[in-house]
Amino acid sequence: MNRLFTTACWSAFIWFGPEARPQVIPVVTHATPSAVARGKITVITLHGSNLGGATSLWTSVGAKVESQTNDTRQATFRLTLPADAPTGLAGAWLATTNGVANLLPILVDDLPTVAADPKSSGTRETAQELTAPVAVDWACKASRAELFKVLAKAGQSLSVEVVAARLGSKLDPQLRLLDATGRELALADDSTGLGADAHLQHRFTTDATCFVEVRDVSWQGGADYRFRLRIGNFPLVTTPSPLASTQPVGTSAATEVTEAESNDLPAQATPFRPPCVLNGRFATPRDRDWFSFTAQKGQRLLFTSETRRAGSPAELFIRVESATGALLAESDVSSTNDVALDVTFRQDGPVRLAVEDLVRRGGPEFAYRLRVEPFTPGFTLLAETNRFSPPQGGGFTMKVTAQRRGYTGPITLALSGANERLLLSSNVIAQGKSETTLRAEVSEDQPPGTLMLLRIFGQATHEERALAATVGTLGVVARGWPTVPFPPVALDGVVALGVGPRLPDFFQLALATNVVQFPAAGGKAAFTVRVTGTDKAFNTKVEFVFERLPGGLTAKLTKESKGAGDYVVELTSTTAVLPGASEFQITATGTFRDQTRRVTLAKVPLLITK
Amino acid sequence: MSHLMNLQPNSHRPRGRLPLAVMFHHRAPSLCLLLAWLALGALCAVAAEKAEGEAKPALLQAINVGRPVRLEVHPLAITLDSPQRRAQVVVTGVYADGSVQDLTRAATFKLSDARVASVVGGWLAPLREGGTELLVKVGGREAKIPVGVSNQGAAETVSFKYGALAALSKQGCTSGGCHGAPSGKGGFALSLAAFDPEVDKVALVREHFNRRVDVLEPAASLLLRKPLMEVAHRGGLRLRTNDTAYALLAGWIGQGCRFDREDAPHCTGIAVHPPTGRVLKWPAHTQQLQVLAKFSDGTTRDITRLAVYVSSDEALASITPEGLTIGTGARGQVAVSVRYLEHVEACYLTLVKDVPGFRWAAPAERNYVDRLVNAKLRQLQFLPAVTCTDDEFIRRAHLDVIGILPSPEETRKFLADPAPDKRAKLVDVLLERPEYARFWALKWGDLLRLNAQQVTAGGVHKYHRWLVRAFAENQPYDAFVRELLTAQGSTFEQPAANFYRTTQTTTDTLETTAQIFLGARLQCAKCHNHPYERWTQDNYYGMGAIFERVKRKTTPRAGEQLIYTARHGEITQPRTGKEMKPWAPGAGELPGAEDTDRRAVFAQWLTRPENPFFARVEANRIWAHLMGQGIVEPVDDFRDSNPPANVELLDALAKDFAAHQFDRKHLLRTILNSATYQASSRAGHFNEDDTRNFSRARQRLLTAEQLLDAVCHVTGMPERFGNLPAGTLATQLPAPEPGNAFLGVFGQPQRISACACERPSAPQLAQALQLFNGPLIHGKLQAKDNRLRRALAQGQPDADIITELYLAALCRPPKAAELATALKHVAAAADRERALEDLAWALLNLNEFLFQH
Repeated sequence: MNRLFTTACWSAFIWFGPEARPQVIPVVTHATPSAVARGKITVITLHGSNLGGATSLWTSVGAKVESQTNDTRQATFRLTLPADAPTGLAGAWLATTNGVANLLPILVDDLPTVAADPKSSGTRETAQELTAPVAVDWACKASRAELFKVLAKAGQSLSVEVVAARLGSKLDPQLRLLDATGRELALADDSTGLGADAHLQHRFTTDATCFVEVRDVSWQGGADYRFRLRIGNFPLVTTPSPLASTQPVGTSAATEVTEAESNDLPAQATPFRPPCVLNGRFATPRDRDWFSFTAQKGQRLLFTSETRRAGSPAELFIRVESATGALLAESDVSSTNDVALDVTFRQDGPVRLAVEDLVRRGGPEFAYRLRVEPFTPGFTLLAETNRFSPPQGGGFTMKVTAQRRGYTGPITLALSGANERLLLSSNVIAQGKSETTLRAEVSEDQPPGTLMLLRIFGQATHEERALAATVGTLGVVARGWPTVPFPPVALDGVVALGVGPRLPDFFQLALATNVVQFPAAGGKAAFTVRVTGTDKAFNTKVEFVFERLPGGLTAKLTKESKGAGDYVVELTSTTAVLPGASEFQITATGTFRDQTRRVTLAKVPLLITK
Repeated sequence: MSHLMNLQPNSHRPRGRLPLAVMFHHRAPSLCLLLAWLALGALCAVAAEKAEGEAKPALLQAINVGRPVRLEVHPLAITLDSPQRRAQVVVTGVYADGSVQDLTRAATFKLSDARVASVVGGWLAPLREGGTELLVKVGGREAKIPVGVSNQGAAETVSFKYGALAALSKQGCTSGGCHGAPSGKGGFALSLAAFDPEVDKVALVREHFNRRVDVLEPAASLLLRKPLMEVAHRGGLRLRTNDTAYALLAGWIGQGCRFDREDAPHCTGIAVHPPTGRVLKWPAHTQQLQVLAKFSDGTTRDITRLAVYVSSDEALASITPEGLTIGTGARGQVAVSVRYLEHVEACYLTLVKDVPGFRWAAPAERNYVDRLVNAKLRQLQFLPAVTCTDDEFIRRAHLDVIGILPSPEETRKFLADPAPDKRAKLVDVLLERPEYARFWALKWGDLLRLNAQQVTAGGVHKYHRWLVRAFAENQPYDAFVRELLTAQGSTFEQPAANFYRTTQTTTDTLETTAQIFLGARLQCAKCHNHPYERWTQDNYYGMGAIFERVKRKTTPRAGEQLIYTARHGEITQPRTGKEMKPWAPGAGELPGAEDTDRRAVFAQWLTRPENPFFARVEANRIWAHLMGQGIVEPVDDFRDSNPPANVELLDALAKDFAAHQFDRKHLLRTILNSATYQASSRAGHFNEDDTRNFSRARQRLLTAEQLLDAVCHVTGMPERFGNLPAGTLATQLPAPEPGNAFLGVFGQPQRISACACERPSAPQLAQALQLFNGPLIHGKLQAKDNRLRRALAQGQPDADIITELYLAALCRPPKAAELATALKHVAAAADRERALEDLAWALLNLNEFLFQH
């Protein structure tokens, strides 16, 4: 029995002991409250799993953060947001001693948050009464609608908004405003530009008690069906006009041109001269904006929309025509991203440009920006990941893809700004290639829980002109936030690195014999190096380097294993070797969980015999 | 056993006595199986009603010529200007009372110069050039028409298309069951109904080294010898040497199998005499037709014996290859479809017959519906049924308008109301009930294919909500259709755009649009001209051009599609390679559809009040919903060869519908308030043969959703559907409920297609088993808090409980005998609760409960 117990304990140590346990990356699901206010202190709790050891929180809106408490399921911080922080959706990264969690959407919202009343049961009688301006965080129950009571004054305009999908909730909300008898005053679902979320506005002509009803459109519910209900008197338009630039500050000095209404006909086209950025808005459905310029023979222009990036729901359709209406080029509508059109003009002369929504929609949200610039060789860089949790002293790899535009030379990747804590390698996208797997090593002195926010850029020289582009990550954010229609452009290019615990050594090296022997007459001899793993999951090939061998002697592997196992080394000499005893060195390099370890046998005895 | 139960087939008397055999509830399985078979028989009653009037062989009766006041001979003059020309004469007797009768069969024909032409039974053939007169005698009257014969010297060139191919079509060689099948027959393939002459040229002349035709010796051609059975032919004898078709085929071969010149005159249409609408009164049950083909050079040719004839209802009338329609003696309306290559016309004939003892009772008429229905009934000598009882009406109106049964309280109140206009008031109330919109959304959900697979789980609810709002706001039908057909944008933000999500291709879109809004099944015309209808392959792709630019793209949002119209893109006819212009039936090429969203132009054309299809199709759909059968049936199969049962009624409904801004509630109200709708479902001596003329209400099994709601209502045990909130009814489901055996067995459609046929009406044995001992009914009857046990818990006496159950299930209190029997049964039982439970089960198995009546 004793023996059995001992064996069991030993096994448990082997399989579940602290050294063998894999690094457990933290996961955040949501925050309460789901929003932080500007110019104020907000105590915010992040919920999820493996949150113990939380060290810091980064927000894309520059909040000052103080860590308070944490355990494995939640971590609480005290956030102070600048008064001039932009409102709307932002991102937050939580670092723990196990690495960095997924990017969490949070809202910057000036409406005061009140606690939800748990007694509310979806009936008018139990509906929580709210006084605007106000916001409340709550979750929909299955098979029922959540009701909130609001007292409205005559002449009051009430804006109501449900933020759910944009915060990563599973809820597909349907929002209704009901009068005291349950009669529907307004309904909203999938409001333009909000994805699955909804907002509405209603003006009351008399004092009234009304109810705000929120439910999942399919009547689903549960803890994952969270929402933030905002009630107040705020504008519903989500996109400014003209749209804000989505280019990094200082990278563009193009002239801004705003459409001059009415420009619905070719004869009314707004003139411009490239390079510039055209700004406009499809004010009404079926609106089509015309612009005109004079093209030169051989001129090659690139038309690039910055519409979806800037949060506009417009799907631009661009048509370039000659002055007589002959089609010169039109945008490809199959793309789900902003459109780009590359046109080379065959002759001098006036050219007109028609810009419209693909579906001919219109309204205050349908603003657009269209960059028109001469085609210049360059590239766009995209990352596949924007979050890394390397172990202390370890590193990580990051695949970077280049979309080239007329430049085929090498692109060197570098960190933006000096950062001595990271060492990059494999950081060149070779000539003619479209990708590289960048490797970065974190310096040993960065302890677990360290959070670094990085930007990586690519640089090159083409015909004595410097080319540069930041590695874009907005696509990664969009994939991580599938229910957010327009991730904040401020998150583009930001890469989070959270240092995790040191990865224990995962293999050891030993000779199968006490001494390696080789005949002085030359020829071949073999010996075995035994690799033992400390983690069963270690199964990648170990690379060997043999150094300080006597002259004329070479070594190579003749039998390899994956991970732990016996590796047979063959020594070869085509000529005679001086007899005697000496030593040589074997260095083995193994990779596990993206981390590399080198183990060296510095003094391997070698006996050369007659 | 059957005398114990009221489940035996009895389509005319659904009202049942209280079943005495309630003790069989949940008992021996073998007994239940037996009962199931009996119930299946009951369910088959509907099918049996449909099958009434199976085809009877048409026999020629002697014509009672009587004393016509004059004869009308058609045509007024005959010209036979080539040796191949023939002509059919139609003789009509006009009588003093204004009635007319075809006397062609009874007439004698004589030519003043028998050397010029010959005549047999009104069929003239030229003999030599010259002029003569045709003397027609019958009923003591006579008439003369001139006959001219010319150009007999040289044989006329036989047209490949209008002669040879028409002859092959006439003999059935190009039919789908013969060489017109996609792969032909016996290695010989012709285009279906000769719709593709280019293909036929190759098949007839060039294939297999010209072995099918022998221009030197035409009679030796396989093309002739096989159908003559001179050489083995699996299709049997299809041709005789004295057939018109033989002469044409032999002539065409003998002339060298020449193909038509590009500039040869082409047929522009055909005309049938007599015009549509003639009434044939038994025993004058035959009508000779004469068919003329009109050509682009202004000439006409008699093609009576080249045209192909199809009767819409062989039980009413058949038609000979020579164009003689023969009524069977049954009463009703028949359409004779006349086809000459791609040209199709229909001739509607009304067949009437004196019924011994029939006397028109002049029932009260409440609106034009009654006037037009009664006119038809009177003409056909059917008597309308008496008005249904109040209890029948409240049940019927509830089920038809809002899909559910009234509560016992509502029934009591209605039955006790002495107001003479209480039915009209009830109709008004029902049309404003919230259940109205949800029930009709269910109906349209079937047509628009609302299911989670097609439009995603969330999308179904959004699309359904759009439908419900359209009905709740009583959106005019034309606006509803325009919104649907021109929808674009996100399928989540603009739920109507899902119309183009459920129809993922151009062809699917046009076929669905045609079926739902034009009542036309166009699928055939995708590959070839429709063999029985006017629709050609060009028409099909012309309609396709309307939808060709509709495109769909996915968006970053999961499950969302963006529907938009491309700025250019054309569809080509696959057979001809021709780029097709947007086309609509009756309108031809749609003007102004080039540079804009073609769907908008089409929708404008479609929804015009004067559009002959639009209002009629929806009016018919609404009529069919209320009456259990369309004026055109199936409701989505409008075609010349499928005539309306009452053309005037359908036209009047459509006109009224359009005149009231396509207000569906107006049309519903009009029909619901008519005496026709409110007629009893019981047949009488003078309407028991009527299955198409709405002389009585049509009994039909409740739909799956209606039945489930009704069972829940009677038992007081509502059903839960997934996450839908408590109180959601089956008749309000946004999409088919997966895994619900009861709904599945009773025919809830999966909404795979837009065809009305997807909701089956045929009974199944599994339905009977569900009713007898299915888990759903069993569970609800045994539930501790069902209606019955709640009443018991309240200490209600047996009579009150029984009455309540009757009111809930049948919308009437039990009759004295029924109550007495039920009380006796309960009193005799050892277990009162079980006895009442058995009683409730028996009520749920009554025809009177299961059927709309």
